[in-house]
Amino acid sequence: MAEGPPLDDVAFDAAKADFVAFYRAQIDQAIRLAWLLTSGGADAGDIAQEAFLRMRKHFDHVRHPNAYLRTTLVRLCAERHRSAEREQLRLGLMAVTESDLPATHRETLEHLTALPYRQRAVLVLRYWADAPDDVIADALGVRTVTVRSLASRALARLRKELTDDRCPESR
Amino acid sequence: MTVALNRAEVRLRSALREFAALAPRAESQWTDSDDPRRPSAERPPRRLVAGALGAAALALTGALLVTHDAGPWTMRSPPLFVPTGVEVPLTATAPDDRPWEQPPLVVNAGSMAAVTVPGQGRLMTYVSVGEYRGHVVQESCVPGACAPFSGPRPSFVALTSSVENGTGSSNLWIWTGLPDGTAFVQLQGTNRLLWQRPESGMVAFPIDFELGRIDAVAFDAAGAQLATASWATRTEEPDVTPREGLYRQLPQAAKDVAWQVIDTEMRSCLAARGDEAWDDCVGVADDAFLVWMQSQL
Repeated sequence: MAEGPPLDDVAFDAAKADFVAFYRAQIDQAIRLAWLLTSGGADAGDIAQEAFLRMRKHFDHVRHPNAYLRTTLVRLCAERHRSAEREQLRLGLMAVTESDLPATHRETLEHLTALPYRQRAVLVLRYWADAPDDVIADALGVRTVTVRSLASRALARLRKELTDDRCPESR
Repeated sequence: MTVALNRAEVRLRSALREFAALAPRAESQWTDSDDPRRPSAERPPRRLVAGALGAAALALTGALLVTHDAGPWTMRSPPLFVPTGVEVPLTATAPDDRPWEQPPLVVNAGSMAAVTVPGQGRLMTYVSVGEYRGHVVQESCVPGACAPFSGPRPSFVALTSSVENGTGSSNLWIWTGLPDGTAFVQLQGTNRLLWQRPESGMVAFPIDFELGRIDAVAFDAAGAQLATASWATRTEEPDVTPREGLYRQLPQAAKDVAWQVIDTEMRSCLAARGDEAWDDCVGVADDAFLVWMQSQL
């Protein structure tokens, strides 16, 4: 699947004048972000759609649509995390068949899912969206220094959990 | 850059990329029926809407636009002025020994204050330190949200969520460091018009999750408008300073532990010189932070 830069600000600026064009350009990436933040939640599409609905109300006044969308998605997924039991969160990941995902990736994602929401969101935004820490801080509504401490603790836990040192990209 | 990552990070990046590829695609394109400006009865129901109006999840510290109004155009109302809307009472209360925050922040002991919002529990405010543009700076904080401040009075506007503020089930719209003489603050832009009498120089309104514009107006006892605060469009950052440039050159691993370096320096200085040396210790930590950044390159 061809995948453009996740929620790229430059692309959004070009589409700002036209909400529908903006929607078309970013809806799939928004769903992917919601999908990752909810560990494969079946309602990732609904969450992304809700984010656009909320954004539509203020679109004419939003200077950085990408950042606005990202922040809204992170918040909506956090709400879902609040309302769902951890075990329910794992259902989405479990629904993905083993043939779809290698065992090492599944293990990694299970440990990621077990992290507190903010730690998970930091890792998703940093390692999937390639977002710098100040952008992540904006999305989460925390200080940049908090992003770093969250990432540091999340990675420390992942490193501890991932005792298997296989490294897919180093082979 | 993948080469610089350790194995856990490489695995994580790879797993996320492949998992993202399994996400569903959009089932439909945007249509007029999706437009929220149309009457709600015409819109298709969405599962998330009801839940989304519950407690929001993350704290948000936004760019603050506070305008002090002191010009001759200010209209003065009769002395018994009371703002319109519903009063949300606020009560001053004793602060906790330790502010609710993870990781624990170094805190200026003299800065701690607390208020109680009915049904929402105790909300702490305090001054801490953090890194901003390569410097160690003081920050005005509520749990989950801090912002650098300049000048003698910590002041900022924040929207903290129920997840972050640890006070109850609602998000709180907070304005700290109110102007002297503030007797009332009126909040406009939510479903209702609310007002509050400040305690400890702050107000805290429970509100629904809403990213739309919220404006607050501070009045004195006679109804004169003292200041306004609102969510403002983020302003452009000034040019990169040498210190900021230095910070940006740090490897990610160093940035990850920068807060620990600052925290350690502050705690060490305060232990040696006492809490009253807070301001001096900020300077000491700033100097030490510069030396540490240089050592990391």
